[in-house]
Amino acid sequence: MKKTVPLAIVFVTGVAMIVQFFIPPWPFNVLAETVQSWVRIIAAGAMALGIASLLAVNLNKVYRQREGWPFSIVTVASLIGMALVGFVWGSAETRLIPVDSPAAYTRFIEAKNISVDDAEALDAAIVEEVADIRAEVETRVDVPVTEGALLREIDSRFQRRWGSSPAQLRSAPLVRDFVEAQPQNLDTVDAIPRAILAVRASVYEELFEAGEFEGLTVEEQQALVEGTFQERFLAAWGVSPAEMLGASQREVRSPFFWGYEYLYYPLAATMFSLLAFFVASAAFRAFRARTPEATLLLVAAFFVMLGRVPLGDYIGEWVPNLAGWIMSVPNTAGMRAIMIGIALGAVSYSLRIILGYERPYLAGGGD
Amino acid sequence: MQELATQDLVGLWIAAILTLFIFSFLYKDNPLYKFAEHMFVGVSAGYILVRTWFDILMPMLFQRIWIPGVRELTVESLMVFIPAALAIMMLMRLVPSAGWISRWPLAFMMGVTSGLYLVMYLQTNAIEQIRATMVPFAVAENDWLHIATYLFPVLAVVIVLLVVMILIRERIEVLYRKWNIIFPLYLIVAGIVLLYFIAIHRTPEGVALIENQSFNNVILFVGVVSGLVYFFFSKAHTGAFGVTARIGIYFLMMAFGASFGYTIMARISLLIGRSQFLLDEWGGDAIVQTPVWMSILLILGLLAVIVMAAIKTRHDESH
Amino acid sequence: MDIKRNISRYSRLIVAMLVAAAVLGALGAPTLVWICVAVAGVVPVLIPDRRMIFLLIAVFVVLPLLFPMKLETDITPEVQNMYDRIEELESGSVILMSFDFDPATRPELYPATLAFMRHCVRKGHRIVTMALWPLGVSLAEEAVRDVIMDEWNVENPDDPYIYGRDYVHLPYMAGGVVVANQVAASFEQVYPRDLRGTPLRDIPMMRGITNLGNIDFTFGLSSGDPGLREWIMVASDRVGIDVGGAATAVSAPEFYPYLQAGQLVGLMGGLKGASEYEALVGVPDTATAGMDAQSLAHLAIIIFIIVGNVMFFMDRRGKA
Repeated sequence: MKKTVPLAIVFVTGVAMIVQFFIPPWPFNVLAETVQSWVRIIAAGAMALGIASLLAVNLNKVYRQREGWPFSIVTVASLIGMALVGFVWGSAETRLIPVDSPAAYTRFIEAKNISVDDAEALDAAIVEEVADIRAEVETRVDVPVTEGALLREIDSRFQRRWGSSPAQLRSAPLVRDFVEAQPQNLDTVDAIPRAILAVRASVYEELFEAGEFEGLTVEEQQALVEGTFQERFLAAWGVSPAEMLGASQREVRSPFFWGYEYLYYPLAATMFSLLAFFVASAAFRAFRARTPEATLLLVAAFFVMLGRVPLGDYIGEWVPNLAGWIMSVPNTAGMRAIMIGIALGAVSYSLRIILGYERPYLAGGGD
Repeated sequence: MQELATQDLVGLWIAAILTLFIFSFLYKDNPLYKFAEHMFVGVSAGYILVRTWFDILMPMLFQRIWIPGVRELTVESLMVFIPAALAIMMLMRLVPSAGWISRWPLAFMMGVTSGLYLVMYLQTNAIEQIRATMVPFAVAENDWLHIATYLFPVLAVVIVLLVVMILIRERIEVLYRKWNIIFPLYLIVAGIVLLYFIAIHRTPEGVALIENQSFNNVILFVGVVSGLVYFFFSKAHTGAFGVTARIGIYFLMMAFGASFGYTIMARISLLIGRSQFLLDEWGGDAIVQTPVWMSILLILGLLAVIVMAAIKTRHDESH
Repeated sequence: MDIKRNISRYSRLIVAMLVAAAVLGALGAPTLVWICVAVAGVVPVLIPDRRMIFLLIAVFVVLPLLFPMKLETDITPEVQNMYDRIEELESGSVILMSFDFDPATRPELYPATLAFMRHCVRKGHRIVTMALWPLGVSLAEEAVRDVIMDEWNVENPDDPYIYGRDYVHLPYMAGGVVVANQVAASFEQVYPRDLRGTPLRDIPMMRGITNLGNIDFTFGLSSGDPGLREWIMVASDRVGIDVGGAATAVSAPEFYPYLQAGQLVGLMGGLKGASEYEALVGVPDTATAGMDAQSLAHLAIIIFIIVGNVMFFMDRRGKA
């Protein structure tokens, strides 16, 4: 059980993978697909194992109050914090939040002294407001920006000032009418989508009861429902369902992505950027031309380092050319010799694993 | 100029503080660095946990597996139990008495990857590479003439130089020790001059030597073959075989030199990335948009914490 | 104390470095360059402490970022080839971008990601993103936000890039080479759903893309294993489609044999490769801005190596 079964598994799976290269048709393709799909789930299990053992080691350290145990609390807390944020708000970059555009509308018309449902005055006020923000942004611009960046900035400032974007403000009365006709409130993200779907469902029921579906394929039925729904929605509320959706919600950065952007990224990148300092210090202390081989290494490195930055072009065209040549000829030759050597080694090692001469997977976990 | 939302402003400040915590390691290992380091481990494990859950376990496992009353019983929904069981076996490694069970899924993964790599490495890293080395030595119409009149003499000089250096290698080592300041410098200068001439040399048509396909093909062939000879350890590196292996070493050294130069380039790039963050995003956007008194307070606080950590570390060491 | 001793012991070296700096200055080298030669050549000789080296490297990275020298870069054939291949593809071709790196190497690879994606979007190519590394997913989302949402869609409201029609995010999948190998047979087998949880068969764009054979160009962003090598093995050598990529500078030299063999169409090596692509696309960004700092830091390190060696041999001679 402890040794024979793993040996058998390695042999069968290894041979199956090799066979599918040479005999792709059924049943070997199905076999290979299945086996590989399983590997992906097992690999996820390996990830889980890594995280579980990290937790176990750190909790143990805290429990026994070993040296540096407060730092283990930091590890455990940030692990749990990041995971919680991900599980609660999702792992995507953005999440949708509801926009109460009718409330924003009320605020806006009160501030601007516009009577309710005066679309022209509203439009004029919005245009004026946008121009106002644009002027404000442009006075603070110290670098040339593209028109796109400017528009984006204006939109986001408008959003912050009034609680909805200019476009959402324009369609706010339509949303208000729609909401008033529906028994839902606007507090949750999916309130309006649910209301819209309810309209679609009623269209479906109506068509079904009228017997419109008879003799139609599934695709034709769907097309019929979709067409009727879009048409009726537009007629009833003055906007398409997609526009209604856009007027009632907005994307914001999810907390999980915030954790990635402002915690994970600076920590990881800075940790690795420390190497720049150590490589500089090693350049001063360790890289010596003690032998002709080491000298050759340093000369090659000298030209590559100079030729692969703009400074090389500044010295002369021949420097980057020479660096390119070193990379594409002697480097290619040397790397290829190593590569072929490793490939032959890897092939024989793989063969030894499959045949059971090499058993790295038996290490650990007791006898 | 972009106005930052509060969450981004706070985020940038936190990112900058963590960045400086890690950089404080350059002065000395200290609690602030340790804090950031442990936080990094935790955050990355948390991230990977969430990712694995939503991206793999949910769609591949939980949305497929047979759950009575939720999903219909099909062959597919039953088959998922096998990898699920293997994945759970993997976790058994944490239980000391049942750790050996984890060998099964491990053997499964090992078998599949070995089988895949066996064929792929053979094809991509061996066969294709050998094929690409077996290229004609004279590519263009008159290249064999160039080889005769130009390339071979250059190549011959280089090879003779190498052979001489190999033959008097021990003598060179002695010279290294004896004239220890002048000789390595002389060798470096000689190497640079030789490469300079290779770089500026042009064939009668005005094509640079290093852009001549035939010349490069010859060098490539010599380099790969001699490099492989060096890796052939079953035979003692003596005589002609030894000379070839030596030439191989020189090619390997050129490759290592290129890698070395590129490694330095990579490390510097990472530091540039962080410097751009501190100068542009934090210094340019975040600090400017934070109220002045708050910026000053935060920076002073940060400095105080870093100095205290440094003093405490020094204090601990003196005891 | 030490400084005085070092001045007398290495006086010839110090003079030589100062003369070299003066000559460079007289020849009209940029100010920062001859200052770098003088400072990096003399200060470590006087104070050979490693923290002094740290400080100098920080200074020579930060100074050119504050005072750019605006040195111009050349375009290497490996980057030019990739640009040309993307340029030749018909509008609407499908590009697979595989994000096989994490934020640790983001400063090197993210500029390459942006430059390449910008080029694809301007040419109207459709993009499929996937990730063999877990963190790759967030980097892909970030790139799409920066290039498509915040840039292209704002500047071209009439012709926006729409999710599901012009680009698709595929989630992270564990298994490395196994994933690449399975994608060669079928996307749906590996990814039942996209990153947003929509079944793949419900996404209009993926209807015509069943496996790697329907992809026109595979672009791997690689900082180790699994990465670009797996894509060469699968996409180039098994399926036979064009593969290009961006690799961290640490691993870039290993990919040159594949370039020569034609298994790889093009390669962006590190920040330099990214800056070349930025120049080709015509949108200079962070990589271009970083090139001056890269130049000066390389120069400083070369000088550290020279000075360190000369000091070493001078000391050895003194002892002999």
